[in-house]
Amino acid sequence: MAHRVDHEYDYLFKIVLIGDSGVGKSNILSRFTRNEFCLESKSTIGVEFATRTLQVEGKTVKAQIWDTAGQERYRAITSAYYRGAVGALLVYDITKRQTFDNVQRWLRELRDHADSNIVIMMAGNKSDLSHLRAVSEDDGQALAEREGLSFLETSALEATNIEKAFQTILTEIYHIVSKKALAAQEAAVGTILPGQGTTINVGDASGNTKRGCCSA
Amino acid sequence: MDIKTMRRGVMENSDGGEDMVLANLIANGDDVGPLVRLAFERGRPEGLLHQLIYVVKQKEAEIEEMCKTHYEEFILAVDELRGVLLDAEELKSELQSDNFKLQQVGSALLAKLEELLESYSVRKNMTEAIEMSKNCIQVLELCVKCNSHISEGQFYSALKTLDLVEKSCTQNIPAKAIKMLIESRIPVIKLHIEKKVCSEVNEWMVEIRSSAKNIGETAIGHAVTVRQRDKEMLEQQRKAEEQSISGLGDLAYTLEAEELEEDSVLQFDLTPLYRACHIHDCLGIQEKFREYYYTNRLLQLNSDLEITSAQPFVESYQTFFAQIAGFFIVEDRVLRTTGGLLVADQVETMWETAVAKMSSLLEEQFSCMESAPHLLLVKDYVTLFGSTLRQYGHEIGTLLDVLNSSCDKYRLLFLEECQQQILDVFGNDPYDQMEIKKQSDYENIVLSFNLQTSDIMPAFPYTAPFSSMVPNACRIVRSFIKGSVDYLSYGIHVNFFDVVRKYLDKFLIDVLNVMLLEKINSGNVTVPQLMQIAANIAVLERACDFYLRHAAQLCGIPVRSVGRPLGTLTAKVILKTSREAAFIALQSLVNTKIDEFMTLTESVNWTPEETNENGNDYIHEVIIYLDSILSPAQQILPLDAVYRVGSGAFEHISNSIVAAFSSDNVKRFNANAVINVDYDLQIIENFAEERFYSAGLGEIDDEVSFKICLVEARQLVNLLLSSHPENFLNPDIWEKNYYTLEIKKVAAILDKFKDSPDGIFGSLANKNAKQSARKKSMDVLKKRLKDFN
Repeated sequence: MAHRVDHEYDYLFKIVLIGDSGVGKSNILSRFTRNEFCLESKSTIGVEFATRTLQVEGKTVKAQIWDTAGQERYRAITSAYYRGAVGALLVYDITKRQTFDNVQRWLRELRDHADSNIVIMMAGNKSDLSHLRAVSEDDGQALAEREGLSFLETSALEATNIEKAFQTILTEIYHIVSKKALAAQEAAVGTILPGQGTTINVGDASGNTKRGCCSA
Repeated sequence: MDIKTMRRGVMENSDGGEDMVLANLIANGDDVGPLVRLAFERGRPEGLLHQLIYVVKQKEAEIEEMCKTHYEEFILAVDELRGVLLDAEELKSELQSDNFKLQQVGSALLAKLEELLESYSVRKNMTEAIEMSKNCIQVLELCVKCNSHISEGQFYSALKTLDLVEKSCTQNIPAKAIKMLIESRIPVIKLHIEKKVCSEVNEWMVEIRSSAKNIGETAIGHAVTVRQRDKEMLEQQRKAEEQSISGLGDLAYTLEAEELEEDSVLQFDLTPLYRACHIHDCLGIQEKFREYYYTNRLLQLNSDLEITSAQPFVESYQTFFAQIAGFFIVEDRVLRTTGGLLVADQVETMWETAVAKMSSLLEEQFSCMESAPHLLLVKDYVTLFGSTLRQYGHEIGTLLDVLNSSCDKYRLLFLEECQQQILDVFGNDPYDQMEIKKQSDYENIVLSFNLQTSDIMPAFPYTAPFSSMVPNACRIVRSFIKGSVDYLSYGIHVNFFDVVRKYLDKFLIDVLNVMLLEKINSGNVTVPQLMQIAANIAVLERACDFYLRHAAQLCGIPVRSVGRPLGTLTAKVILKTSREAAFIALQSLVNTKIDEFMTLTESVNWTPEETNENGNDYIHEVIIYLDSILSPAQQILPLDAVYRVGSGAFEHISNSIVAAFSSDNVKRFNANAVINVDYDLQIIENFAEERFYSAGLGEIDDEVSFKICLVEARQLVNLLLSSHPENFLNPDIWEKNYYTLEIKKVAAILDKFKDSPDGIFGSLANKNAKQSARKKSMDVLKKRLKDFN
């Protein structure tokens, strides 16, 4: 979960990229972290990750983004991906209906292996290929609403909505973490005995975010 | 001088006459070559050389003379030159003095002149600069124009302007910076235009893809219209052929139809594509665009060929095929109108891709379908799709092969559905003859299936000879015929009547007939029900002719030609066999029932003291039963069938009576018992005669009667009561009176025949005498039969 590092950033959030093979997860990662796009498609082997620091409501947030292999044969290390992840970007390819149909399976996997409070956004990638579209935006929106997810259509090629997608996830994660910190702080206040003066260490409270918090 | 020289020569050499020959020749300018060549050829050049020496001396003398003469003149010339030198020196001094004066005077003017020249130079530079600026302005104006075209999306004009800019840049712009700037921007602009145009093409692809479904649906709708019109035309032609009417009207109709077909045009816009083709041609990268277009359209096609699993195929197939049809209609237009953007081979490749995908999809979906109507719906739409695309030059044989291979599946499913319907019809049949109350019902139930027995419209209410199962079954068979024809039409078979006929036979034999047999043999039906079933089968046989004619009609074959080459359905013969089976079952059932009554013979007193003219109980029971089956038989069955039922029953009764005498249950019987059986026999014979004539059977054949069926029992009783039983052994008498009796059987029966001893003593003398005589005769017969065996 998130923890505080004093000198460099305020929060470190782990985000996983999941979805079928070939939907463009790696290019989403490279576009967001290095502003690069590679036309040659190579399958990701195992897992790669990259980081980028950005501002979320005045706080410095470092996003550690894990790019996973969509192919079945790398599924053995599945549970390791999700450990400590606070957010997930679930990607499908708007030109391949099957990748959209498989979203349900990825959601089940998230709910089986990841923290139940994980923030999920669904992304319909390759929106620049509108002439090859096989999944309408309405279909994506409807599924997202049914499942309670955020939804955006993106294009890693044209850098459409990539920044916005991560900003949205990180902001939502920040809100949840802040609520938990506040709850922890109130709990800490409740433990003080009357008549005793004690300095409250806010840093310690943030560090104890994981402990005994109810979900929002 | 020459004259002088010649004179001296003449005077000096007048003495040496020979030496003057060569000299004269040279003086005259004659050619001395031949002379010299001749001298050397002869090998004696000495003479010639001598003459030449002479000429040399002569010439030297002349030169010397001339120098002597002109010596004086040379000295005078030198003196004159010396004088000129002095004059020149004097002139030089004067010129230098004048020059100095001029220099002093002209210095101021020189400064002015320099200023003037500088101004000229400045003017020249300014003129060049202005000229250069004009050229730059011209080019920059072209650039502005180009930008304007680009911002307005007029890419062709932009490219034309860009070409002008490029030429001007090459030729007219000495300003290197501007030139380099413009030259570096030109490729960028071209790339921008290319991307813009590709973007427009992508937008067009999105639009054309969403329009493809409508285009396809419109085209397929048109195919539906054409098919409907063809059907109407065929109907008219068939009627015309049947009535031998002239075909002139048909031709007119045909021409009208052809005109109508040419009017229909599918509307969609390829303008963005034409523009893109043109722009890429101007850019010189048409091949690249061709590749781009083909690749992306192929990707779109592959995407269209993906079926979503979210929606059942029977709900999505029309959209699916309309989308594909629209795609290829667009490609056909593109192929014909874009001047080489697509080539026929590429469209063919795309079509083969689509056909392979559609074929495998259809095979997969057909294998999953469990409903014949679904198969038929999809098949209909696929054939419409096929005929639509055939008009655009596409080969649809593979698709038709898929439909053809699914034909068996369709038939099996359809057979199952019809079988279930037949089962329901049989299950719900009341086995009562249908009462038809009015003419329209008669037409719907009887005439429409050719079930009538005469062409005269009967009076109403009319009782049909069949139960409701018959018209209902006919309706199902008719729908089976139509379903089979529907599936086979517009497919591979052009003339599929034989296939339909085979299917029809199979349905009637394997479904209808099998169910009839199951019902007949089920053991759950009563005698009247079996009679009705037999009557129904007779009608169903007749309906076979209707089925065949109807099938031929739906297959487009005129009725007149059905009779001769098409023959009859095999099912008709099979149904006849089943009717026979019904009668056999009926007979068996009746006989079983009769046996129940005839078991009453076991309670008969076979050694009674008295005779009883009223007959035994069993015979009355049998008569009551026979009456109960012959009455409905007369209502339900035709006369020949009634006779068959009745004769079978009576024959069985006769056999039962004879069997009673043979039965192990009877150890002995006396004359009174025989007399009583005779009374029974008379009762049943009277009933048989009365029933025979009341049924109207007497009108058919006087040679037969129900009574004849009782002959075996009659002959046995006659023998037992005969005054001269030993005549049984007489061949002539046997042939005449006892031909149905088996000798062994008779022997066994006679062993049981014992007259009562008491009777003898109690009788009158006259009676005693008579019985005694008969007894003797009987004893003789018994003995002989025993010996015989």
